[in-house]
Amino acid sequence: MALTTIPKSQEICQRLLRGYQFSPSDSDDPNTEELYHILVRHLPQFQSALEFAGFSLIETDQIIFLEKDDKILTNEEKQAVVVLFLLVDLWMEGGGAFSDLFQLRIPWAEQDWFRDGYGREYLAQVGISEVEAIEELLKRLERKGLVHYYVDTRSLILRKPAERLINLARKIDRQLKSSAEERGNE
Amino acid sequence: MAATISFRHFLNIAGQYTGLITDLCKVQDIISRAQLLHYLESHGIPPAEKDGLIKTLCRVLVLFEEAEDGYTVNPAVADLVNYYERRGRLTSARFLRDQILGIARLTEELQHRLFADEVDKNALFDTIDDLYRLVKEVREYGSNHYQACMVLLGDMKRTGKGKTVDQRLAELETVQRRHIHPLRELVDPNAEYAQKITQLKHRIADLGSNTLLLAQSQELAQRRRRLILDLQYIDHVLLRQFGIITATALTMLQSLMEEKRIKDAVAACLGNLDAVWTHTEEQTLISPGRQSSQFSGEDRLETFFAEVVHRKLLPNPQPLLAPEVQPESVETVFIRPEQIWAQIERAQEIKSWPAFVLSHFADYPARRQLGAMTLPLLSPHPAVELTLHQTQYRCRFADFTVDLLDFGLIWSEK
Repeated sequence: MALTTIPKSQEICQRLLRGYQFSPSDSDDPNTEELYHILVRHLPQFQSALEFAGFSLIETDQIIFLEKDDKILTNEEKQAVVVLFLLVDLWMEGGGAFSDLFQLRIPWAEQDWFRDGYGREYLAQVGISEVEAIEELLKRLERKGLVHYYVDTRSLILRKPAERLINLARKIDRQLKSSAEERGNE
Repeated sequence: MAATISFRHFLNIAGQYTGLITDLCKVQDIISRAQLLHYLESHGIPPAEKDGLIKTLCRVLVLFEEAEDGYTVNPAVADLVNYYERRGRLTSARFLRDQILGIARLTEELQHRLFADEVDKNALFDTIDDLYRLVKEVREYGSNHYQACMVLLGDMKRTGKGKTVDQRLAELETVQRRHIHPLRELVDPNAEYAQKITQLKHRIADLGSNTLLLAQSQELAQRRRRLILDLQYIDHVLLRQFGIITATALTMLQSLMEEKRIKDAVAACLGNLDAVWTHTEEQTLISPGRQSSQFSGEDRLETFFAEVVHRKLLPNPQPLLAPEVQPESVETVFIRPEQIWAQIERAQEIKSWPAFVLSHFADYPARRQLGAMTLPLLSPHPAVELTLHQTQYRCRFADFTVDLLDFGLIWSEK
């Protein structure tokens, strides 16, 4: 089936080109549910059509997104990593359950983001020095499918693509530990 | 001040009449005065004190006076009492395990007594009595323990908020050590207890066939029936419930460990961000978008892409194919009609023109060959005569198949 005959293909492609990451979280969202199911059903067609136009559409851990050409991390990526990792850490430090981050509206602004010797230092490393910058980033991450953002209550719910990033922390931590062990054995 | 006195008074009364208040809390509707007096009587309150106690219960707000000599229990008190009444009672799991193993020990004793050469009836009856009490206790304690454990685990889940993962892990580990771990060996079907209880069931069944013994003791017959029921409960309900406690605690432990791993990993990564950047260098974490990318010309690319994909710009974009064998000059990519007529002239007579094209213009693209095959049909040449055959000519190209009535050509210049 040609891409032209697939319904809503243009909308799907436009979202992908804006950096949106489709994921199973879209199944619960009336705005993207249909688009996600169409994309999953016709993934090979989308992949080949986008490849023809020079884009690489990949699926990893059920997340579908366009790979970037340039492999150097952007500042936005670094900021997203620090803000998401810190959010998980602060939330769990306060006794919150990890799964609640994906189910409840988390009042992110109530967390102590700029604690000296901790969050302030990590955020400074990626150029964030005020709460407004975090809010701007979270709004951008919503457009990329990583969070649901509620402006009126300054709260958010994490989505699957954010979980992929957080799971990277576990992978990296394992790698760091095993390389530290190797050094110890030597 | 008055509220403080009243609350102390409430505690005093609650402590003194716990059984009565607990019973009253079970009644959901209005309690009539006659019913209330009946409750007081069944809890041993002397008639002379009944009125005074009712007034006291009203004063400390356990009871509310309603119209027409009726009373209701304060819903706050009822909720509190009912909540704690449903909680069961925690027992040391080691004690419970030892009790159950005690059943196993008594089972063996019963076996010896039943199959001794000379049956010592008194000793046999005593063993049955011990077994009866122990099994009854185990059923009661075990059932309470199950209820209390499940409530405790539920409470831990609910009140976990506000405590760190490490605190919650430590609490759960304590609960497991005290109340759950010792139960695991009881659940194991290969462990000593599971086998003994099967034996005990057989022995009790053996007793049933010993009509002589049963006839001598009414008590024995009753206890035997009760033993069967309790054993059935322990074997089928209680042990399954212990299995549920163990599994629930294990699931909670696993999820807490998982949370701990995530929290530790995230904290470790935050403390070593340079390592994170090194490990994620080759990955796309956030796809660049129109609003965030500094990638110049992306808008243009996107427009081009949208146009191409949706066939607006190029109606039929086709890749360009070069012939496998390079022709002598660029011009020979196309077979010009003059070339074709010249070939026919040179040959003078051609039996099958499609076969001739195939062998003489093999280096050209398939569509060009098709064009050459059909040229004499579509644009007749004055010097070329067609000879139609009744045989079918078929030829397969990579993309299409030619299927037509074969024909030959004769060059005749008149």
